[in-house]
Amino acid sequence: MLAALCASALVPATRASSREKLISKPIPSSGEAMPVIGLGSSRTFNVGDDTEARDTCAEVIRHFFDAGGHMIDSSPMYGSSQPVIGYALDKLDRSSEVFSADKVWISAPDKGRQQMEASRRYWGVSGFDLMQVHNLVSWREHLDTLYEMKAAGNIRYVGITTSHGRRHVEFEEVMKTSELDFVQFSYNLVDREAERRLLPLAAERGIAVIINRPFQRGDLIYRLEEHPLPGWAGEIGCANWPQFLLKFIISHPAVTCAIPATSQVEHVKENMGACYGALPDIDMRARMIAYVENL
Amino acid sequence: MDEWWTYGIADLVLFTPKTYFRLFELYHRNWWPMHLACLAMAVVILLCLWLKPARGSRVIAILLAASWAWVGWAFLHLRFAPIHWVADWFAAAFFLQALLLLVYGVLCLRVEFEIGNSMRAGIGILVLLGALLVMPATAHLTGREWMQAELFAMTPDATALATLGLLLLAKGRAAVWLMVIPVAWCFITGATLWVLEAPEALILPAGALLSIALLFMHIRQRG
Repeated sequence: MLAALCASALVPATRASSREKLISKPIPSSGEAMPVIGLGSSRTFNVGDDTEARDTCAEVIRHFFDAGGHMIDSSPMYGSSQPVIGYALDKLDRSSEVFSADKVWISAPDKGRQQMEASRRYWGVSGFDLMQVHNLVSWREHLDTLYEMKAAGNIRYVGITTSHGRRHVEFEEVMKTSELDFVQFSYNLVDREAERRLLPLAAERGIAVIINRPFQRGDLIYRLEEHPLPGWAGEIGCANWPQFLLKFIISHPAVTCAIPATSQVEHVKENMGACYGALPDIDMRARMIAYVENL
Repeated sequence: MDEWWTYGIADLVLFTPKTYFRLFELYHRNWWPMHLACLAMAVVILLCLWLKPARGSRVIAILLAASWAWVGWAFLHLRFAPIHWVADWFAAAFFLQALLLLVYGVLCLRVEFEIGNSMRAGIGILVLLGALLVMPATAHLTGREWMQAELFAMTPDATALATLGLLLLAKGRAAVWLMVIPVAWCFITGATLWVLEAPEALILPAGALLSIALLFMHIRQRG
């Protein structure tokens, strides 16, 4: 895992057709380069034992890797998503390329290790790169366990997550008082509450930021697709609304990467397109907000 | 979990409509020709209501209990639980319903199924026939495959609705307790289908509300 990521930092991934440089950002606690688009798995990879659907998910992951992606994020809460990721990594024989991000999500602190071991087996990896406390469930106890696991070399990074604006006050407190490598929360062009406190705090504390639900579970794209993409979107390399939305997110200085989830190959190709080309500057970001707010 | 209060319904439905309805398709393919046995069970229940044989109510209760237990195990536990972490709790509730049907309908004989001439009985028959005959067609009518159909004794929604129809026909106070789990299921599945934006989302909650209203009217009339 580490070797693959270091290699990607030294030799930038390229799009075969355009040879453009893939955009990555450093993880503040280590300096390791992380491609700005990852892959979420909530809902989309929860397909049970449906072999046909599992194979489609494997194709999504193949195209994700081919486009230079590394981080895949999951959770025990997401049903069969973990086994499906494991199925795909095994089928593609590309476990070494993944930056594995998972979560511990169980009230009983003494069962946390057991749950994480079950998750690791589902993925079929030797250890997780990043382990996060999901939605702050029993976070004090789980963080202690994660620190021990990190010290023992079982995981490389420690994080906490929330989504949809849930428990932001408590989340902020944990960010202030705990040693975290990563935080994960929701942020997008129409829900910018995180800009007020969480994103500045992450920058101040040197914590990497993963953004979940960048499309509000697809609702945002459905709403925007009724309207034309602005002509100037091409200036920042956006050919469609998903790229427009993703570029807004990853252009925030405190954001390390966004993790859109999809079960469609065409969508993962679109999403990974946001890893290339120019990023909007502060003026362009204001223009993007104004355009969408006036639709 | 100590953070339940922070979740909305949509946060708990962590699968797509495509995955959910394909679940039915795979389930039906897997268990065919079990469907013929379920069809036979539905016919036997209707015959017991119509011909009123001795111990007919007991037979109906046994068949209903078998349906709930089967759906709990084969659909909820084996098929639904891998994509929905609450499904095993649903399965436990279905097993409990099967047990209650056996206790009240077979061991204690506290429930008697009979077609009366009240409005409640008339609506009960309509609900039962709707569950047996109309619900299998809803998948097709809403643009999905026939193989994704809801079937009595095979899938939860048709089983719950048929049970409510039969309980509207039932004599005995135990019918009230036997309605609790089917009514709860109707609202749970209604919420799930609502999140999945399925057109039939309101059918089962409407059936549950109708059953509750008729039951309260019946209780008030009896004083």
